[in-house]
Amino acid sequence: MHEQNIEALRDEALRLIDLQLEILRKMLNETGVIAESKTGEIQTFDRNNTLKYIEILEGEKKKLDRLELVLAVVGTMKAGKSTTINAIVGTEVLPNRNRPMTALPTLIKHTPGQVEPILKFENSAPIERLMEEIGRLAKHSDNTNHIEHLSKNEHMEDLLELINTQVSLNKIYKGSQSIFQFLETLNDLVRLSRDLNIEFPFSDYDEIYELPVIEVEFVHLREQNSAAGTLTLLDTPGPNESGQPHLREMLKEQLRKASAVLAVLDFTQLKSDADAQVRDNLKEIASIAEGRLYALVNKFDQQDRNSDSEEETKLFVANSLMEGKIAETLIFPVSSKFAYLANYARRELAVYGTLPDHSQYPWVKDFGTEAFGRSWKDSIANLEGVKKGVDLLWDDSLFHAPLEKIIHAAHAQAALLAVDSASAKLVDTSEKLNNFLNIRETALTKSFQELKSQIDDLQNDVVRINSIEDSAKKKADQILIELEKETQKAFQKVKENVFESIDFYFEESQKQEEQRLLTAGTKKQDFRGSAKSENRFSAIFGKLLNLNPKPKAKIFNSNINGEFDKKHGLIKFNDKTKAKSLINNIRRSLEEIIRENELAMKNMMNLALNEFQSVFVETIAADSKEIFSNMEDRMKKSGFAISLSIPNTSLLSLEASGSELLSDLVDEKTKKVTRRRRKDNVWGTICGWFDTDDWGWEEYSIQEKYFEININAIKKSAKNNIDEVFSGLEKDIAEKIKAPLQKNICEFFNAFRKAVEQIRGDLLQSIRDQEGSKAEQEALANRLAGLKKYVPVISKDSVELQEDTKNKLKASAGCLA
Amino acid sequence: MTELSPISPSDEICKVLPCLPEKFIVDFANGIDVVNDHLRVQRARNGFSARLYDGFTGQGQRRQAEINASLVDSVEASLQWLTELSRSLARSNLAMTHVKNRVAMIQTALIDLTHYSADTRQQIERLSFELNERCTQLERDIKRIDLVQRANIEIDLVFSKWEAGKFASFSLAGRCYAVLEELRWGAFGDLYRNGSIGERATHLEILSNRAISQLMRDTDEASTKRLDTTQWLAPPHGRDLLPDAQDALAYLGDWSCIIQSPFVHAICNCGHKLPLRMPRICSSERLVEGLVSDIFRVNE
Repeated sequence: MHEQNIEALRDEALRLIDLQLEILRKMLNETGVIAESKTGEIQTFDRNNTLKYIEILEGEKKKLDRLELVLAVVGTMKAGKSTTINAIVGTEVLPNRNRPMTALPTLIKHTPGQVEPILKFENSAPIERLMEEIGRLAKHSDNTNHIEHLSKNEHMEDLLELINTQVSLNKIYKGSQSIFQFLETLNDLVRLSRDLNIEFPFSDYDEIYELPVIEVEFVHLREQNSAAGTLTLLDTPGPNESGQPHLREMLKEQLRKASAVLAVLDFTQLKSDADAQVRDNLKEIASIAEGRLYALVNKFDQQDRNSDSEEETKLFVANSLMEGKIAETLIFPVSSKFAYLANYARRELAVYGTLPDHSQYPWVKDFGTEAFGRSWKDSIANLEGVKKGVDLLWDDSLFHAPLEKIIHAAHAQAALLAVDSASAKLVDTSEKLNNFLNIRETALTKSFQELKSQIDDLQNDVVRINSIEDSAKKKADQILIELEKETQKAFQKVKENVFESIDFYFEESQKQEEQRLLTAGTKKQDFRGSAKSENRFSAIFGKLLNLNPKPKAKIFNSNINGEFDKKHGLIKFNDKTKAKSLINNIRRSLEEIIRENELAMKNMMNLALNEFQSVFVETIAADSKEIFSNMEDRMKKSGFAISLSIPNTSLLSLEASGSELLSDLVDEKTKKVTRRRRKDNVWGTICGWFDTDDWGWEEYSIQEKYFEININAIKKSAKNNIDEVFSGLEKDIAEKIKAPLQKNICEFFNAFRKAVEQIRGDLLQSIRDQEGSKAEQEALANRLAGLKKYVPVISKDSVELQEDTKNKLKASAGCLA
Repeated sequence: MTELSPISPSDEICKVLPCLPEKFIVDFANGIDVVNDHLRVQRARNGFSARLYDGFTGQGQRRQAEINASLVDSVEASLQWLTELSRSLARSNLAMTHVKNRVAMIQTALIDLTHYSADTRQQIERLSFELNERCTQLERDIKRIDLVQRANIEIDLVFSKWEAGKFASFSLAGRCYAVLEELRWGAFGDLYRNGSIGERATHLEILSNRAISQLMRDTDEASTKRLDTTQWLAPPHGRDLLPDAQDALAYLGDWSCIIQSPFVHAICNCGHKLPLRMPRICSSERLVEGLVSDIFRVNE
């Protein structure tokens, strides 16, 4: 038999929503079924919250009806991310020319009929407030120097002009040109606020709908009926490429929510560019977008007989670059340039029936030469030929297959997420309907005394829940203290490791230098013949890094003990570039050392957090389940058929993973150290440290025409910074784990109490039901029985739908595992 | 061709679904309109029942002339046919009882209608007497012969037909429906209707379990495995399928409605929009539960 398909899940969810809506509306219409809650009590369904349930279900229905497909595109500018986006859209919505990374993610939404791109920016107020603040600061005398310096940059000048003359942004920008200008302004604003040390209001842009959106018709979707869903591209820097620590969490979240993630790689740089950082970035994205990540290997048009074939490229990316984190079948060598030109030409033909004048539109020449070669001028005059050329170029771009596959998959994923959300609501509502209607119907046949005693028992349950909550909070505190201790220990150890590695590393390099200076004869001689010596240098560093630094360092220490005067570890160069290259080598080596240790720390944190999770959550869940099952049993004995699910225990889980916790910790620390950070994790921060001026080599260079590197100063500086980074963990655990957990424990128990209170409220209402005449009571019983009739099957179908969906989601995330 | 060709009791489809003639006779009896003196053959509504009419009354060739003469649809002629058909085709208690009750109603109605001849009145008295006799006989049989045993034999027979692939012309859900409908008309139905509430539940459980296990075999899936409803309803592919299979099911289930019996309605109205109460995904357990409830509980 075939697997059930996602459309069926969606249909089923829609069907169940309709059935529940039918029941809820009937409940509202039939007399006596729904009452107003009296003050101090809550009923499972009263007039107000029934309307709210209806609204929620209607909302879910809308989401299911009109799926939002968000296709996040990540990649560096160099890899051709903008070209790829333009290729998918079929027109130039993003500037292809060199420009800094996207400051804010931008949405590009397929809007049938919208030929000219139009950017809408509803949420402009936070930016305007920022501009006002910049304007104020710019006038302040302390900043004039800084501002003057900035306005040397052409863009900045324009921007400052804009800030001075205009404090409100347009909400609509029509056409590519004004869209580019707007995006550039946004980029500059981000940079300017960073330079002026003003916080950019990123938190006002952390939801997808808050972002600026470009609406335009995607050429290749023109013919397709997209009633089933809307496709939106999310142009986003990868989480580690944004250069903005604030942005990183938000980007990760957006990647998590995206229906599919498309990473753009550069075919020509696959091997040279494949340094640790690019790899790590990709792997991080792969783990966030597990099973939803697709890789386009762009610039495949530059493939020749000497380079890798399509198959080889796929294998290389899958195995070597991504180390198996992405399946080979999800990797597609393409040419975004071909696709872009083909789609651009296709769009022009569709809109105007002909290509524009090539002397005015340079892309036409690009299209011509790619499609027809050198004799392009003759060929583009022939309309039929051009059409054929477009098709051929599109075929050669190899874009068709991945696009089909990715959009199809994104659609499925979007549907699955919508069904997942709907089924949770369906399960919850049907459980409530079941309990509510059963209690009210059964209660009509019970004596006042019986009801009263049930109500009293529920009161006692609430008291018990309170005491469980207390002990849970205490337990959480206790476990957190243990966690803190353990991690503190672990961090201490890691820190020692790093220090030890640094010591070893510097001693080794000093020793090597010493040796070389001695063999060269004189101390003041510069290292000409430097090609060789530099190679040796890097060879040494390279070798060092391959060693396990700790044990070797000890051996080394004992051998060279006392031979070095660490206080005067100066190395001199006559040549500035050589000095720089040494600095770079040192930096790279430090980065490597810290990177390894950072990884170890992340792993440790994750282990600790998992341990916490299993101990804590299981205990609370077990206690809660016991209360509910006692409640169910007790009520069943009296003839009340109810069933209760404990509130979502994921409330009790810790949102932060070890690596996130650590990255934030590091961000905060390093921000204090230096403002000009280039990268956002521990090892990246070292770049920034090298901008500090206490190493002295620049000053020496001016006076004496030689360059000296003070190894000891570098070492000290590095150690100080690392020390800073590693301290303050305690505060961070309190902020990142303790506070949210305590809040969530409260939320969990509030939900728990509410469930019990609602049942109590229903019973109280039942006592009031009995105030009516016998005939009235009988009529009510009939109405309740009629309403109840289909609830059990709806409930069962909802639960099974939820299970199906969860399994499907698991399968789609774990398809690589 | 199938649109018009008559279906006779010896046709394959009637062997696969022996309850077809039973239902036909009941419908025939119900179609006799004494007020307007004609027979409502549901020709326009359902081509299938018209074909059964032609086939069972052997009127295929003569038909056109007689329609023209307006003879065939008269109450007198209909009663003649009903007498013949009930002698030759009706075997089940359920069909006999229905027809008997219907004839009693016609008899009462005729008292107030003046335009019928004495012949017609005599004819109906004879038929009524005959039917009463047969029903008494059947009831006696039911008491004499162990009904449980007969029902069991019938269940075994019907399920062995399913196992042997005799229902291969129906969709997966259609097979299950055909089996349940067949049993409702037969001895199992008698047993069920004569049972206490507790006994009825037991009968249905046994029936459900057998249906589920056969569906498990047909799908090669667990009883809880949820499949798309479109898969349950998909017409089978292959050679040697009965061309009239889906029409026959539609005819058998023409009593279904979207609220009270959504499963039967979905199966019998293939290609139409699914009823709201029909799940879009269901396991064989859920399917059988729904069908059993539609067919037995609703028809109680």
